[in-house]
Amino acid sequence: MSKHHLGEFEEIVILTVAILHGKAYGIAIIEEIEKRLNRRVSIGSLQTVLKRLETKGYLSSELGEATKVRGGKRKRFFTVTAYGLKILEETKNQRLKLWESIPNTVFER
Amino acid sequence: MQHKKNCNPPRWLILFFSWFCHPDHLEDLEGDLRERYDQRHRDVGKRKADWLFFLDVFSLFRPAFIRPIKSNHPINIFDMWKHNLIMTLRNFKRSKTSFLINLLSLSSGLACAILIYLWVVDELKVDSFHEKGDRLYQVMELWEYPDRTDMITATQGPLAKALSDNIPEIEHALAIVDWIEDYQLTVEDKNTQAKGFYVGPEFFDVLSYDLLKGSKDNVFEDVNNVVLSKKTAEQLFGSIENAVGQSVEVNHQALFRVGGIVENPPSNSTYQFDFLIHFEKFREYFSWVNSWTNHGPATLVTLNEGADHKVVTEKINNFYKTTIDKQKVKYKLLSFPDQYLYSRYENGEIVGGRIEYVRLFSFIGLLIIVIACINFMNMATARASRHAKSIGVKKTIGARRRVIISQYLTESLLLTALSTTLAIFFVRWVLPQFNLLIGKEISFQLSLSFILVLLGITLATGLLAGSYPALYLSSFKPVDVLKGDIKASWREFFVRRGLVIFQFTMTIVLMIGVLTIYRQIQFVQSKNLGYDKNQVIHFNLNGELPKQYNTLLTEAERNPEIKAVSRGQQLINHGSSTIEVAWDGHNPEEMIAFHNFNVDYGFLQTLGIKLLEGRHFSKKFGTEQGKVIFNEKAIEIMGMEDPIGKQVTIWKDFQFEIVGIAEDFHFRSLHTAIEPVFFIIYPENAQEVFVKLEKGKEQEAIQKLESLTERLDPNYIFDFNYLDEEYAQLYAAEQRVESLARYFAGFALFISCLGLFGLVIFTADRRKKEIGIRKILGATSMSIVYLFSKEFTRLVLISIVIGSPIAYFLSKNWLEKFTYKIDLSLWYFLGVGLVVLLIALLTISSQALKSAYVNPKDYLREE
Repeated sequence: MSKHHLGEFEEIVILTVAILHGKAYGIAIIEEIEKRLNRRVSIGSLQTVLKRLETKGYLSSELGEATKVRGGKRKRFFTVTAYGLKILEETKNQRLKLWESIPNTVFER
Repeated sequence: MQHKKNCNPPRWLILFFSWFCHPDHLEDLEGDLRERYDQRHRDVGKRKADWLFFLDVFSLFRPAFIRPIKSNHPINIFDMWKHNLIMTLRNFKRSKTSFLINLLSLSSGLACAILIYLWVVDELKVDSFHEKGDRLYQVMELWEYPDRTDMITATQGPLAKALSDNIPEIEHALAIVDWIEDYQLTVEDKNTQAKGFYVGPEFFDVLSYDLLKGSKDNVFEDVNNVVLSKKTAEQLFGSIENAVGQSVEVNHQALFRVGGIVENPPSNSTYQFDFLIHFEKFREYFSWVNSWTNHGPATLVTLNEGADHKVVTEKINNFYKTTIDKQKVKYKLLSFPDQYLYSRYENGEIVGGRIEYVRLFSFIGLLIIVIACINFMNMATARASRHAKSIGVKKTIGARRRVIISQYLTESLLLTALSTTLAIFFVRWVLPQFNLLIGKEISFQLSLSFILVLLGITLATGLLAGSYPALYLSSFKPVDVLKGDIKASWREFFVRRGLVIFQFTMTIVLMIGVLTIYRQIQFVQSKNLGYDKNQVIHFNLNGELPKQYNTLLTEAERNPEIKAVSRGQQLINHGSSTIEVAWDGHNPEEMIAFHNFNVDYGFLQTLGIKLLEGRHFSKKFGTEQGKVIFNEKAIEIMGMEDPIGKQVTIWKDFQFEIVGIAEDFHFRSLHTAIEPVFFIIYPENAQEVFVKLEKGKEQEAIQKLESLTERLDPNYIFDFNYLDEEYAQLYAAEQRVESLARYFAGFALFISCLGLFGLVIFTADRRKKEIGIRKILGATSMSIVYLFSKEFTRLVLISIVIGSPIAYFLSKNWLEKFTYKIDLSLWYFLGVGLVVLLIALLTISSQALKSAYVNPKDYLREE
């Protein structure tokens, strides 16, 4: 069941892509992560993860329309695939199950 | 963008990024980078943004984003080359003229280069076969005069032994007497003329000549041993098998025993000998060699491994100074194998020698190849308009520049390979004549190294010829050429003209150079030398002849074909000189070498040497011993006024009275100035008979002399030399250079004109319509020819203007080597220029006339 294991950063990236919903491209993702998690992300490590997730089939990407900003370069927009969503779901469920299994006394102190 | 001026990230980082980044990600990642940079530029300023940009770029420099080394669109190599080959062959077929012109010029250029290569390699191989070559040195003597230092190979006889006894670093020291001309070797009834050396017993330790019989330790164990060359042994004994131990009579005087047989010296050996005799015998026969004040034998030494020749030189000089010190002499060690190439000395330093010619010809070879390559370049770029469309189409459907370049390189390489093949055939065909010209025996062997060299030459030539057209043609922009917008760019036009000018400039320089050498040689050959060298033969007295000389003289003079007979010493390159001449007011510290000629009565008259003052030697005055005749130069050096009758002391103890002054005459090559000379009567030492023959009756006279000598001594071999031929021999090196260079200059001119021819054909083709229209409007054929010639003639004229000063400078420089030389007159330059111009004009007008006489309707009918 859990042979597709998501790393922590991978999970964050997929979630952010899902949050941005259709507007997820490199810089937007970085800014979103920085805003929500207050965590610095280098462009290199983000792109590596994006690429890895895409080859695993969790994400798909396509180039957008050319605009005049960015030196005329197109953006690459990422979306979460159905498979990716399923994995997210699974991960979430696993976590939830773990949460539920914590005895109540642990938090009561 | 609302913010101010420069919001671009550092250019080099962008370049670096687009260089390494995988093409799939290049666009969006660069966009991301730029977007971030813009943002930061606004927020934190340029400097910080630049720095962060730098970090971003390098954070992306990781395997996931680095482009693969191999292109992700593999080229179908096989099909590409197949296509290239087909295109090439098609091009050859379609433009036969330019193909032929290219083939002809490249193959003749390559043939010249291959011949030069063969010659250069042969020159470099001379004396390279000695195994101890890297520590084999020749001991040179340095004579320091007030105004100059002479360096000579003649050393004192005892030097070799003294050196090997006293200098520990010297492994072997060898004395060699190499100037003995011809000795007669006799075995029973067999007789042969041979050239021999007197050598020290270390000969085979020092030099690497193969002994066929005997070992290097015992061939000279007895001083009466002689070592024969294979050739001589076969002449005397039929084979080398039973020769060892047999007796050989040398010059009908002494018996020697054959101690060993040596392989004939290879043709790349400077020492050429037929037999070797122990140096001890020379000391026995010629006691002068035992003195430290006489100089003659060459001394060669091998040093111990690792010994420094400079240190050894120092030691030799120290040893001489402290132990011997008879005369003011210094020594210097020069590498023996290098001697052949580096044998021109000035003031005790090597300043050149044959190596200059080796370099010169290597350069000429290169030049001719370049000239041939230029033809290819010009033809290819001139035809560019024809190829433009095909290049445009190819590029449009995705051919990269590299593919187009490879196509044109295929063309040039294939053409060069073809040309090399042709050139090889040509070289094989002319090699015998070439050998004759350069006096060598080069054989044509396709050894591995030679094949590699040929491949190298082919590749280099092909790339040289093809690179410019390939780069130029592949740079066409598809949009421009497909729109039909090929401008004959002024740059291309300029380059082509420049290349033509270069070709002709070099050709003109070569031709003027050749003319200079030719004129100089003619000048020295015909210069009044102060004696009459024509119709004079000379031969050596040996065997019984010295005793029979008087009979020979009277019998010979009886013949009407013989004008005069006398004897003396070798005239051309006369060797013996002395510094022991003393006169009133002579400063003994000042060393001046006087050439001494030991002669018999009538010697000066036979050679036509004229007297300025005084009288010739004559029997009328009783004994002439103690009388001397000096030349002008000697008198000038001694500073004598009214010298006739004055006394001089020669060889310390002998008094001589001056009876005459001879006009100066040249007995050495005109490289050197006239030197002081004196003549004395000394028949015993006058071994060379000089005979002046009647003009036109030389053959009869020679026959009579031959039968006369045979009657006087049946064993004598009548071997004579013409004086004028010997004199010409002094300039053999220059003569060879001149005749070689003459051919190469001819080739250069030929190739250059071929190129010009090709360009004219091309222009004529391109301007067909123009010519047609002009003719219809009434232009005469002459004006059409003029139209063509104007353009190209101007190029040739410019070449003449550029080439002449270069040629002037180079020729002047070469002439510096001669003491007596021609003046470079204006007509050399004008003459060569005119000849080149005429030939070029002929080339041009042959084609121009053709197109001028074509019926214009043929030109205009198309379309």
